[in-house]
Amino acid sequence: MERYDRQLRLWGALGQDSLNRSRVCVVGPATPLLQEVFKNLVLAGISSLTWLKVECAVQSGSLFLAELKKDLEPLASKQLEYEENDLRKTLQQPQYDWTRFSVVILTCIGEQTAMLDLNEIRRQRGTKFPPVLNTFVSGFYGYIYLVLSETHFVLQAHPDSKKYDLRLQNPWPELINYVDTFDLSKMDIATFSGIPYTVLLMKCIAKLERDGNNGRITIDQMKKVLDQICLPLGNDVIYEPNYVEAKRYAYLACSQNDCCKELEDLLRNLEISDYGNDWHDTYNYEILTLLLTLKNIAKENGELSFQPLTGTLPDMESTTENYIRLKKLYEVKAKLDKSRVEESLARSKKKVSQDVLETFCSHYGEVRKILPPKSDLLGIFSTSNALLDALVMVQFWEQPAVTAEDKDEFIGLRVDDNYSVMAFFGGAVVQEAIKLITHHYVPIDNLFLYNGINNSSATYKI
Amino acid sequence: MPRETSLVTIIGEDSYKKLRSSRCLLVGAGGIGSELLKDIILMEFGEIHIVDLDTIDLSNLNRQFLFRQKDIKQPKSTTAVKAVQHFNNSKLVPYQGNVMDISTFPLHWFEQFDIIFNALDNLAARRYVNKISQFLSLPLIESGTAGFDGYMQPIIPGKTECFECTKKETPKTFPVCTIRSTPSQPIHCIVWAKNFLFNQLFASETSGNEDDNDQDWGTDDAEEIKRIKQETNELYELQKIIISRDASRIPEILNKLFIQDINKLLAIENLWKTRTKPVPLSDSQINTPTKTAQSASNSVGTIQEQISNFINITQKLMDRYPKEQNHIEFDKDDADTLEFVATAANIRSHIFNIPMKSVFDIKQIAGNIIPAIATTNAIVAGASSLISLRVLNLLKYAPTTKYTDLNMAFTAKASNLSQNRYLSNPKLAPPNKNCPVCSKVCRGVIKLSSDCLNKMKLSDFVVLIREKYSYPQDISLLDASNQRLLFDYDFEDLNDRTLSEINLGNGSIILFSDEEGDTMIRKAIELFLDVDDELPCNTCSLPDVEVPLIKANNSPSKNEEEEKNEKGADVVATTNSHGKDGIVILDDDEGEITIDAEPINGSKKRPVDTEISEAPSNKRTKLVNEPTNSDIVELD
Repeated sequence: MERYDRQLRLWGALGQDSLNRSRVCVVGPATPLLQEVFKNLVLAGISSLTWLKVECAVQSGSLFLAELKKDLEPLASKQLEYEENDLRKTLQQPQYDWTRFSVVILTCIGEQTAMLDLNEIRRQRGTKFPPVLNTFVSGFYGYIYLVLSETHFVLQAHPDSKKYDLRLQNPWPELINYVDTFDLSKMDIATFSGIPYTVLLMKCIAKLERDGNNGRITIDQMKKVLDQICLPLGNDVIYEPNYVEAKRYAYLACSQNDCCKELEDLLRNLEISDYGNDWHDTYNYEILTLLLTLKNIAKENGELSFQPLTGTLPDMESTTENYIRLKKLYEVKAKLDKSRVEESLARSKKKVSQDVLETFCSHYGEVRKILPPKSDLLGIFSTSNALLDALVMVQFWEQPAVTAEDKDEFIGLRVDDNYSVMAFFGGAVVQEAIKLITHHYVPIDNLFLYNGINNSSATYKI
Repeated sequence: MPRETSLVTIIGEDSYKKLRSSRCLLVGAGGIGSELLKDIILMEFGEIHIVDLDTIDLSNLNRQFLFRQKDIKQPKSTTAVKAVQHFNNSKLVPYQGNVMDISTFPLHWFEQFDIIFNALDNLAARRYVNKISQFLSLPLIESGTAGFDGYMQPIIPGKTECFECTKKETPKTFPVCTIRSTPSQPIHCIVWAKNFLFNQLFASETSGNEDDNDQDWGTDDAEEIKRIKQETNELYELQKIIISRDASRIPEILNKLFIQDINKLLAIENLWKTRTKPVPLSDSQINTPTKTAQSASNSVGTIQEQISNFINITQKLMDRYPKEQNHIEFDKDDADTLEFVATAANIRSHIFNIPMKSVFDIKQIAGNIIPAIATTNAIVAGASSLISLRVLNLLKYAPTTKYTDLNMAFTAKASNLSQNRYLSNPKLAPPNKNCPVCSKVCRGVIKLSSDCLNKMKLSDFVVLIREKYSYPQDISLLDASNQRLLFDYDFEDLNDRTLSEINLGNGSIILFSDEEGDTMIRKAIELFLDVDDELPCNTCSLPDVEVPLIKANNSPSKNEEEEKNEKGADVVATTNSHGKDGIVILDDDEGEITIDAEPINGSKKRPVDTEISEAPSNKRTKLVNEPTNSDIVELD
């Protein structure tokens, strides 16, 4: 694992394990893009590769890998399983096992018939087909198009700003008891300064509720109440770091719920009917199982929703003792919630791997759902996007022009392939494949376009 | 099919010729460096020079695809060059060395290049190369990645923002007292174990006193400071135990660190008025041997396991100590040193009621580990190599008319990809008028022969500069590398010394400022001393730089925006103590130019103002950044 130390820190041992076990199929002619894709996949730790070759009369661009298998092997940490087949022949085998692949990556496919055939095979297999990343580069431009066959669930989205699951607005009894142990009317500033700010915020919310405020709490209300309960201790209280933190994080009390609203919507829209048997990716099946379990628990208890507490507490100004007690409360509750999930799973005789269960419960707010597109692989043929149109034109119907002169709106589109742009796309498309395989981070949904002249890019949904 | 054809069609015959005859410098052959080297080789730069200090490590292999298991411990630069031979069509020159080492890489060595690619992993080297690029007006393509995040920024001196035009995050520091007396977070204990305990035991000299004059103690409590100092002296006693190699004495170390010292802390009662008291270990905990569980690096284990691990690992390091010339450095990839720091930090955490951490987590914190993956590096290196075509203006159909039309690239956080942002591409900004590196002062290179350095007196040197750039009588001269005052109106003690006698030499940067003008002053000039033995005797050639008159800051500025920009960004030369050796030490904030709010009594201080408003900024920077006696390729 030492070899993967630097990336383990992005997707954890579980994610790396998924990568090490995954099989990836790369389809296309020998281009710089293809070799960049192979290199990046093998570096990430993927040890089973299949290349479905498209024979090409002219070699386009420069290659640094002379013999793919031989040159890739030293980049892998273990024996590389490697297979080469002809794409045409493979497409004609009705029994070909596509489901063993975690992801299929199409690179610079120029034949429309190949695209049509593959699309047909994919259609026939229903949801049991791996995600397809179709990518094409011409001159200074390129696209990546993701076509899912089943709903993709992200286990951990790793959002930019971590939202802590504090339950300020709906504390559980033990937390309420803890908050009640602090009587602000009977303490000096020194003691006050040792109280975690979340306790202060909960006291504010409680006071607002006592005062008959049932609607949504605003930040101004919070700040006012905070002063009402703190200032009687003395005016110097405003210099205490925990008071400052409480002011700063007052907004945490205002959002409808500590956990993301997005998640509630996700849960509400989830139906048992989503629960088919034909899952290509067991992670998707397991995450869905867990989500439905939460729904069940809520239903059984007549609650509106049940969300397992993640159990992590941010660092805050406090005495160590107060902080440790608070932290313990969160940890104990998180453990309890997890065991409720486990029990409910057991009752419904569902099985989910322990690792997924742990991550799911401890990062519950980070689950995301990505639906398969309404269109299919052929979606690229019917869009109104000018750049995609131009790229598809070059991809399937035109020979790259030999001149560097350009008259249309995309300068440098019809020139020969530029190695740097290929390298860029090799990185980008494998990055998306890694996200799909690890179920960490949110993949592109579902079209990405890049202009290498000015580094602009955009994502669209088709 | 010959490879050139493809490239010729992309950039055209003329540009291709230019590309084949250009030389580039690649600083760093690590993550981004490996990718960049491949990309620029396949782009067919004529000549590529690669500098890297490092050797290859196992944890590099997940992204640095030019390296193999068998290359571990080999130098990166030469190994990379060997690995690319089979697809290489450029002249490659590798160097294993530190790019900041002026004796290996003097300024005139950099002059041979047309463009520099930075593929570095640290701030100090980035700043250094940026400075070099500014002195030589060499375009620089700066880049960096951390996990899924990456950026690429072309820097065209005088035309676009330099690396220092925006503030960079600097490593966090903690007050001594938090680390030594009142830790409250795991990181405090890790810093204690690594920077303090480990260094004292294994990496410091056996004698000497801690230099504590400029310490930020983080407390005014005399009793506590006294205790910290005493504790330091006692640590020398512990080091003697290490030297004795007597494993039976290891419990003494535990006893001292985790019982006696904690009890001493507990005795200082005012520390614990609002804090939870630490609980020292008990004698029985220290003296009860447990079986060491070989726990996984991502689990924590019990306190008893930590203690026995501490005993074992200390013994191991004790045995290594004499074999390694009584000096072991902490290295995150040296499992023994990491284990020592982890167990010591965890025992301390336990005592202070702080959660213990796994070795895996501690490695990240103690080793400043930044996550790194091949894909982000490939994306950033692709964007860097691509933009170089536009920086060198080789794309006929996308000509570069204005450098501020070029774009940098930031990859957005991976989780934002679905929100319509893969990459943001702001246009390059013009230089920040208040940037101390590229805009606040004029800049140039003095070419000196070494005999001249040894013969020329400071007073003559001052006259030379004063006359060349029409400075008034009253000036000050500063050694900018360490903020030493060398000369001003009431400090002339060094006048009769030669340049080498006052420790100026190759790579010294001096700051020459007008201290006379009232309303208008001559802009300050920063001069780089490039000592070159190939130069004929008696060479001291000053660069042809036009140094403009600017408005002094005591006259009110009319331009509001300018005023706003000025806040807190002025270069201030403040003298506050005259040293015994006749050298004045100026306020020094880790070698950087200090930003000082309060005037110090008896000091002479005047911020150098922003440029005069009637001189158009573009024109000025252009003049400043074109040393005429260097053979730099014209960018326009």
